[in-house]
Amino acid sequence: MEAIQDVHEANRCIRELAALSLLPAIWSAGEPSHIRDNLAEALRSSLRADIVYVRCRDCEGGKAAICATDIPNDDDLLRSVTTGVDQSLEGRGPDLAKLAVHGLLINLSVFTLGPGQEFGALAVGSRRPDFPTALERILLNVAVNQAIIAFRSAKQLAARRLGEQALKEETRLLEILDKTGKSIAGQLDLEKVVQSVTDSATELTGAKFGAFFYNIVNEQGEALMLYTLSGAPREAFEKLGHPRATALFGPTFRGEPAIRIDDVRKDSRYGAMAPHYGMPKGHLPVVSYLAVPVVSRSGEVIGGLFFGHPEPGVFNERAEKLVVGMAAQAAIAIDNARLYEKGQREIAQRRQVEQALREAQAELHDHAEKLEDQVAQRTAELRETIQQLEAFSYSVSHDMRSPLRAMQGYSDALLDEYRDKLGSTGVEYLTRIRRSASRMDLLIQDVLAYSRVAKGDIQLAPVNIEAVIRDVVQNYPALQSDRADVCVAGPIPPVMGHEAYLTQIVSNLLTNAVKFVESGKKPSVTIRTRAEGEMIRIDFQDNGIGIAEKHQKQIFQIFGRVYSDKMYEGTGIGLAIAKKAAERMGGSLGVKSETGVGSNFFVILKRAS
Amino acid sequence: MTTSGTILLVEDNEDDVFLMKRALKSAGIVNPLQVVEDGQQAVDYLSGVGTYSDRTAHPLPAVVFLDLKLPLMMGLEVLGWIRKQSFLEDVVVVVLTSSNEPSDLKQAYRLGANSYIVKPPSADQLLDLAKAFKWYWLEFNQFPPVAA
Repeated sequence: MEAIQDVHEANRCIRELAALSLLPAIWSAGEPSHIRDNLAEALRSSLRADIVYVRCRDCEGGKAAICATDIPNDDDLLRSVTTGVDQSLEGRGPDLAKLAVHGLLINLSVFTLGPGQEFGALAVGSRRPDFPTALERILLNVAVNQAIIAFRSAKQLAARRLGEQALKEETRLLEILDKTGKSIAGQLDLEKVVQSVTDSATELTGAKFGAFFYNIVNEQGEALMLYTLSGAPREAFEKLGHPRATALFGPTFRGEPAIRIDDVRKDSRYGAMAPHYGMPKGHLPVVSYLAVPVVSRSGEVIGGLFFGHPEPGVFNERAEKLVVGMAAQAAIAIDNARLYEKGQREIAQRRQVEQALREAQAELHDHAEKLEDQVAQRTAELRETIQQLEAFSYSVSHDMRSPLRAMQGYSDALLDEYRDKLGSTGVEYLTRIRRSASRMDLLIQDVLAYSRVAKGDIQLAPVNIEAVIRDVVQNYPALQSDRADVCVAGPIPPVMGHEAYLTQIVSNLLTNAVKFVESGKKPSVTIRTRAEGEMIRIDFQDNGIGIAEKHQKQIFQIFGRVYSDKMYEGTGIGLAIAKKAAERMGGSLGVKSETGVGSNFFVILKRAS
Repeated sequence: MTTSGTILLVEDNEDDVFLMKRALKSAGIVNPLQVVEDGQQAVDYLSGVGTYSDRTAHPLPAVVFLDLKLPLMMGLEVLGWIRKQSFLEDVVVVVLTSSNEPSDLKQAYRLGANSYIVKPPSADQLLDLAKAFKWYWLEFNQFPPVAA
């Protein structure tokens, strides 16, 4: 009997087993709670249990499934079973003995993926004394294993689904971030950048409205209402003051870390400040609140991003992190935009400066041209004046001397042809006329000589001054040996000069030397030479009357003679001419003299190489 | 030539003309003397233009005393003109001027003057000049034969 019963039993178990294996409900049920429920039911029916208790951690809320048949609603019993299972799940063993007393034989199994990885427990109870049979135990083990597999699959599926969802969400966020980043990276228009950031961040965080407020203070310390908005019309903000100074908004403008509040009405910082002590009338309804500062690399707080939503708890940590990231991006973009603007301003300024410089240069150029014109004009005028002066002296030479010729000539004619009729007085008068005319002619000649020396452009050439001296001596009777002793002591090297001028100087110095002599004394002149570096000094030492020191300057001036013409005849220009001539040849003329002893007139000239 | 050659005096200053005439006379120069008062007249005379076409009354000179500062045409211009005329190439031109400007001197010789004299200021010296002229130019110096 038993054997047949065993066989029946065995067949039954095999059938149940097969049924269990094929039970799609267990495997396909995605939700762990469904798996649990199906498992409980399946076990109760196939094991003919009176109670099945399944508990699984992955199930929502950790609630257990209990399947019971014909067990009176005995809370105590139920509690014992559940407690026992729970305890085993927590690592504390059940009180089997207690369970047995209640008339139930409990078989306890634990769902586990490995040591320390218990995630559920199963208790099957029956009043049958043979419970569980060997076959039933096998069935139970198979069921438990399959349950474990089912639960694991469900978990993985759930995780995958979560992953997929998270991935979708992540992708969406990344797309938004990317779009924002692209749009603001290349954007140099400051306003567009800020608007772009505000819009993107509002979308990203799921906010109803978002705003970016600039942190700019004018000279009076008042915050300037500069902002961009997203999700709300501008009118919603216009009547309100800047959110700068309140306890709630203040920290953001100071650059303090992000503030995220699930319900702003419950926050201690809210509602503490005048004038509104809370949300001003007409303010947009804000319950969820998120505020992030936008700080540039230099540490300057550019402004703040503010987000609001009428529902609480809208902004999560992830949203906050994202906005913080965006704020950093925005800070860079704003910096760039500002730098660009600054650059533009500087370029404009520099253009202005360049323009001003160009104008100034043009002016300068004009001015220089005008000056050049002026100079050219003046030079032309000067040349004309010089030419006029030259013409003048030419005229002087001709027109002033011819009347003198006439005076002299007619006087001579009178003296010649009418001497007898004139008488001695008449003769004397005429003689004086003659003499005056003659003197006038000499004066004119000397003045002309001086002006020629003063202005003439001369070429210097080597001149044999010794020869010049000899010529002068020969040409002037007053210098010849019967009337004067003129001695050249030693050879004189050639000098760089102008022959006519040198003749002028020598003749003047020599004639003076023999003229200004005590009457009765034979004049004597000694000419000595010595080298002085690149120059040659020629001394004309005479034995004349000498020149007092107080006169030694004036004698070189035109008409600066010391003695009257009556005493020593002469025009009084000779030395002036000689001095000028020496200077024009790059040299000089001077005198050393002592009255009663004699004078030494010396001329210094360039040596001819 | 000595006594027959005409002397043409080109001089605008009548005093100088008077004194020159006197000096030449005192020096014993008996050559016929013709006087013109400006540069243009000098050219006209030498060209035989107008009044001067009568070569019996106004013969071509052997010697010209030429002042430089002349009305109408300056002496140097006249000199330049003279030396361009082939029929006048034998005429002796003596520049007789009050100018001793080196530029005038240079230019006169460059243009072909035979001699350059600065008018002496006194009658005595003028007489010396006249005498020397007679000696040197009229007695010693040889003139080329006059073309017919």
